[in-house]
Amino acid sequence: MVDYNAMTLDIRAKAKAMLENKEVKYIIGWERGANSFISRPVIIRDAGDTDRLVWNPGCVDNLTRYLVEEMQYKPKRGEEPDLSPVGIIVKPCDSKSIVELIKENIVPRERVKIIAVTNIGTVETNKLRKILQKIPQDKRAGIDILQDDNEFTIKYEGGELKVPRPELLANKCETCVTHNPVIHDVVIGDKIEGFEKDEWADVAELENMSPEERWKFWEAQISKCVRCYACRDSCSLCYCAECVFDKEKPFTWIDKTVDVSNNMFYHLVRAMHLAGRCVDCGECERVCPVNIPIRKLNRLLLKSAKDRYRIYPGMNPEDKPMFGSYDIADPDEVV
Amino acid sequence: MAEMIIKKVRVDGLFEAMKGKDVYAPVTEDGISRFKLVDGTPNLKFKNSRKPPKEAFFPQTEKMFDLVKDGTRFVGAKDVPSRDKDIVMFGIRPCDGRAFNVLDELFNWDYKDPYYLDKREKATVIGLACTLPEMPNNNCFCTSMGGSPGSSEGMDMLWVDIGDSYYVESLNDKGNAILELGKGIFEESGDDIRSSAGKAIEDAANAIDRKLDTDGVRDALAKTFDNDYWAEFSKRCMGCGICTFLCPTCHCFDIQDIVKNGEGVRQRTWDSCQFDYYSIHASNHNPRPEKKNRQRNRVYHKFYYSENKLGLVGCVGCGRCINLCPVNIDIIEVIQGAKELGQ
Repeated sequence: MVDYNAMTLDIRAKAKAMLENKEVKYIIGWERGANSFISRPVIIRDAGDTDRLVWNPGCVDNLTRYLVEEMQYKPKRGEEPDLSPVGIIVKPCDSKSIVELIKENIVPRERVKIIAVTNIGTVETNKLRKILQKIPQDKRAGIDILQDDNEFTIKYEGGELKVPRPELLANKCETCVTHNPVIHDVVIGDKIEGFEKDEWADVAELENMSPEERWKFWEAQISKCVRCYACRDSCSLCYCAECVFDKEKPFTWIDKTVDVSNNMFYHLVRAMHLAGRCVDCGECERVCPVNIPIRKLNRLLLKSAKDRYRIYPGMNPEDKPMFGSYDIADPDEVV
Repeated sequence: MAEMIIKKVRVDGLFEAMKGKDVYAPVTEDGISRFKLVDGTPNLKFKNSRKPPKEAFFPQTEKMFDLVKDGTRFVGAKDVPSRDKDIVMFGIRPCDGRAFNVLDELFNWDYKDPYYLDKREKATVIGLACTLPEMPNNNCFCTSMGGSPGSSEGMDMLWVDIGDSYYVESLNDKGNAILELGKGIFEESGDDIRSSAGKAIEDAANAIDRKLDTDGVRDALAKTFDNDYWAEFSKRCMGCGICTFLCPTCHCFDIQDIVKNGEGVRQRTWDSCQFDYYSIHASNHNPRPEKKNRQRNRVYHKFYYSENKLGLVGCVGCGRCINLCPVNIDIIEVIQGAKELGQ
């Protein structure tokens, strides 16, 4: 059984020390959400507030998007730029985002202090919503979620509910092979070993479809899109200060028409911009309000990059980016 | 006001009688429901729709007119013809019915919006009261916003699930026309039926555990505009459009001329005050440059400006923005926080 309570206390102590020693100007972490179903991002500036920080399987957000925001912050007129480091708490999957951001010169390594947790998996928000229906409405506030290798335990006032792991585990965690952080200043939690999985189990289904079947699949999914751009806004690697889809001057690349054609253009362009960069943190799919399996698109590209160019993003800051490197062994059938 | 009942097994017959009208009803696909044009009888066991029903009257993308060409120049406009078919909106939940009231006021305000009104006037809204076990949702709070699981505001007819049949209340001529259309299908109701419908609604209302005391919200907001509070909670906002696009009363739109292959149309599409380019001026000045300005605008628009301008609060308590915000910005918590500050 993972001891989330001990890890939380450990995180708080580390965060408190960092703030007190002025190693960082603030800490980006998770706190308990309103109505307590799921944790949410919080920025802690005061060492006295570190007790707000939590770590549990409901800490679903990839917080590195707030790191990007800090790096891209433009001081207002008369404001002195403050380049001191910030602290951030990351899961192993999120730590890959930081590697990629360092690789792409968005985050200077010295400007971030990384408190990384080891993790066997987080919950899927959609699945949790359904399971919560089984708990009496007035008992839902203040629930706690625990996890071991086989099951989740949802504790609530006056009872507990055991849920087999697959029924609550986030889809992305089912195929994840990164359970230990790839970059860190401090590690919280025991090293996780075992947990071998077939990383590409979910991709085979799409790969085995004919192009026509695949098109039909995506057409149905993409037609649901409402173009709220939550997938882009949640993505730590979608960091362009002005996104091509927002650009209106001197002309628009894409109109705001919400139909399959324009939605597809948006999703395909975004996917291509992430090819060889996406670390599969799964935020795009988690935040989608209409349940589009966006990750599948990115994972097909992730696998292509690996199979064809031996590029697997997010593992080492010294790696060269896919589009910034050339190898004579690269397949060249289109050149 | 006429009261009737309809047996569940006879609902098919009514849908048969409504053929020839555009019937929108909730359709559940991939676990989420949405109002769509339907052919047959929809499944009426549904959680409230993910995308609000406003899209039937105010589609996300709507053609305003065709551009008329002379040679290579666009010289005029050809209006979109008025809609020829009547619309039936079936299965509207009470919060969304009340949201139509807000949209009606807005699109009838200083300018009568022909696109919205054309569809709205031809539509009959048949509501479905929220009853257990499908409703309420985790974050429903309609009872705090002046509504109820059995509110019939904004509707022409309200149905209440009472087991093997629906209690039906017709509220006006449009509702009576449906009763007329389903003559022989609807049956006489009685006092005991009315009271079991009342009981079902009461049970649903009791199951709503999220509450917001709206007393004094306006006074508080009048004092807190410049408070750091808005910067504090909106730090975690990602700036996506979920809370506004999925809000049943949000109504901002953008207008674009689309020219392709020599043909052109002018169209409007939903826009969101949470996008940073929403308020950007031609000069590149942005009066709402930061997330705090944009989140504050959303809250003030619903709980302050809307009441000043339209006489109605812009929030009906459907809970969609709370359920779907990826970073748990919770409008109940936000308003409560503002109230505490403004006291």
